[in-house]
Amino acid sequence: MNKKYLKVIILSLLSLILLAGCATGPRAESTTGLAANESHLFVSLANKIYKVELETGLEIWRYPSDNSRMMVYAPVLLNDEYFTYGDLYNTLQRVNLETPTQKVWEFKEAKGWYQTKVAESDGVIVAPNTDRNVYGVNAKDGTLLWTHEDKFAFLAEPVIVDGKAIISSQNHEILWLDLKTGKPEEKSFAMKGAVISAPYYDETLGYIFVGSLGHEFVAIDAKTQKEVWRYEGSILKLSGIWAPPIMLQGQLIFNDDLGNIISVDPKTGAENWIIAEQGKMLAGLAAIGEDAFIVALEDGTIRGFDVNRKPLFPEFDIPKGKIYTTPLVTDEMFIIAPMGAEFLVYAYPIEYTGMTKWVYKPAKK
Amino acid sequence: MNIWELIFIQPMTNILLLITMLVKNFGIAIILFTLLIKLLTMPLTAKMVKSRKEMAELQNDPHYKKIMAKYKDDREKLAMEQQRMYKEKGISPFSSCLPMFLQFPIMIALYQSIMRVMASTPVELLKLERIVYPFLDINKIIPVQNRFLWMDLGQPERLNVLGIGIPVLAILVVITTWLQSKAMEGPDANADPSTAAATGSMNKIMPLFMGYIAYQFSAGLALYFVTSNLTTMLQYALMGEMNWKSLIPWAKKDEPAPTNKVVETTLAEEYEDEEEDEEVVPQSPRPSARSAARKMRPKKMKK
Repeated sequence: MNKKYLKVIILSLLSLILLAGCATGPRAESTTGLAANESHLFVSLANKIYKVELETGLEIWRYPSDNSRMMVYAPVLLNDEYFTYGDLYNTLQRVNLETPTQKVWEFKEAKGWYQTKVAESDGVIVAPNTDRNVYGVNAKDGTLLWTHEDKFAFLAEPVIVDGKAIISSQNHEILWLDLKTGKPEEKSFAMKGAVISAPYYDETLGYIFVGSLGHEFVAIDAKTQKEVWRYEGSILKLSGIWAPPIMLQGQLIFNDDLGNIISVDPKTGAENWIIAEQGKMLAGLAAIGEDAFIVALEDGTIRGFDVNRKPLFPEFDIPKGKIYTTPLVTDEMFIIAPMGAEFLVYAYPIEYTGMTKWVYKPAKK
Repeated sequence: MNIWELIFIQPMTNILLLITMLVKNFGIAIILFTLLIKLLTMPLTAKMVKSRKEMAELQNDPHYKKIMAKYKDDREKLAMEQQRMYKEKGISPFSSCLPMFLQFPIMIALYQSIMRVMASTPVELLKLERIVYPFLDINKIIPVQNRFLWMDLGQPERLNVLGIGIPVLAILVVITTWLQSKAMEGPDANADPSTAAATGSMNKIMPLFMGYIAYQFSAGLALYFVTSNLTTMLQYALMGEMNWKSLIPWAKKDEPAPTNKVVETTLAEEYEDEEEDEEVVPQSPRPSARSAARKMRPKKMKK
């Protein structure tokens, strides 16, 4: 090859590598999405969704099976027949669960990508989008029912309670939108900081629990939208909160991104205990059974505690793994999906013995 | 946090956040921040340009060319002679590279800090939150309002005209990158045909490549590219280093200096006639590159 062309090609490649390395867009910082039904695990990562058998870790199918243009990190929404998800190319779609070659519908009116899982109730899909809109989409045919526009991108999964979609806004508030019309309640709930964490609804108490980037964690009455209590830290200052809490034996347990784990009384917000600064921790806690939980740190370390803070097993780590996704727990196992590790998914038995139940890595096709 | 983040990314990100807080517009903040950094690195750019100019002049110096031709087969001697000439003329061959290397991390940090502030995913927002200095009120800063003119700086930019999304910023990136590379070409850029061909190809590929990046990624990044290109052109214009003629296709171009090959052959032949090695003494006053070229040409014609 002529030297001058070789020079041009090498320079172009170097520029490409430099710019690609520098580019930290949504593609670079997005994280694996996990969802499961009774028998299968669904993993969203980059240009595929993988359906994996929960018992064995064997791949059943991958969608799309060809090289169609797609990029997805949000966990899929599952029902008996379909899976629904939004991708990074601004498309929301519903696909047949058993035969994923059959696309039920596509919704393409959004101008931004879908960062998070969508929610569905009463035939309406509530889809938060980064173009500052929440879309209400007809679950049957994918037609637009309503939109609600805000000042910032929507990044958290909504929760639907009594005909209202409750959704976190980066505009320092929690919104209540009418499921049928998308019309917001007159009053929203004001938070101190941007809210990127999905609200957690406790049916027994009728409370919404949510944290923000403003060093706060609050309980809100889901019906009246009034604050029940607020927690801002006692001996330590809370850091940013992304993950929703878990409820175990009457304790509400949540974590911030510095790895502080806090247990409070869900009725009053009174602090039960703190496990301080476990390490950088973006993923949430995952409840195991009724009295224990798993902690997955950003550096790949896995720990387990019971509700009295007693360790369940010696900590272990996933080599080279960075964990951003909250572990998924079934009756028999807990599942971790780290970024950058040897395998895409690691499944461990609930009674952890130091061994994996199975691991999964998509075979090259 | 690693040293790179501590020394470069964290301070620059906080300055950018502070500017955003003051002007209450992230688009203007990106422009001001890029201008500020370019202004602060202006002495380095000036030093680099000056050194590059001196080196170019030296390389076109007939005396230097004579040495090159004379010792072309004796690398050791050639290096010694070159060093001696650098010393006599007070030129350091690395002085044009050093400012560039010093600027490089600053420019990468500038780019990375803009990307940091444009955090658009939960992980990015949490990482941004961790590096905000305590004296900045995080609740007033995050998230940054991304609206600027018709653009959402966090999304790829398109201007909707009659239902067609036109990527205005990406087009501007292509144009300004091309203008920048053309305008900064030295008058001797096309002297060597192989170099000229490579430079020409790069001048075509790079703008398109940058345009593609701007088309695909967020508008904030494209805004930074455009501002950076225009500021660099302005810097070169202020230093009198802009080659405006190369931007106008019909403008009369400066005649290029003769290629090194011709000079080497001519001088080598000239030296073959000389019977003894004479001590090389620098000429004074030093002729310019163009006058050196003029001096060379008649000799070639005579042959």
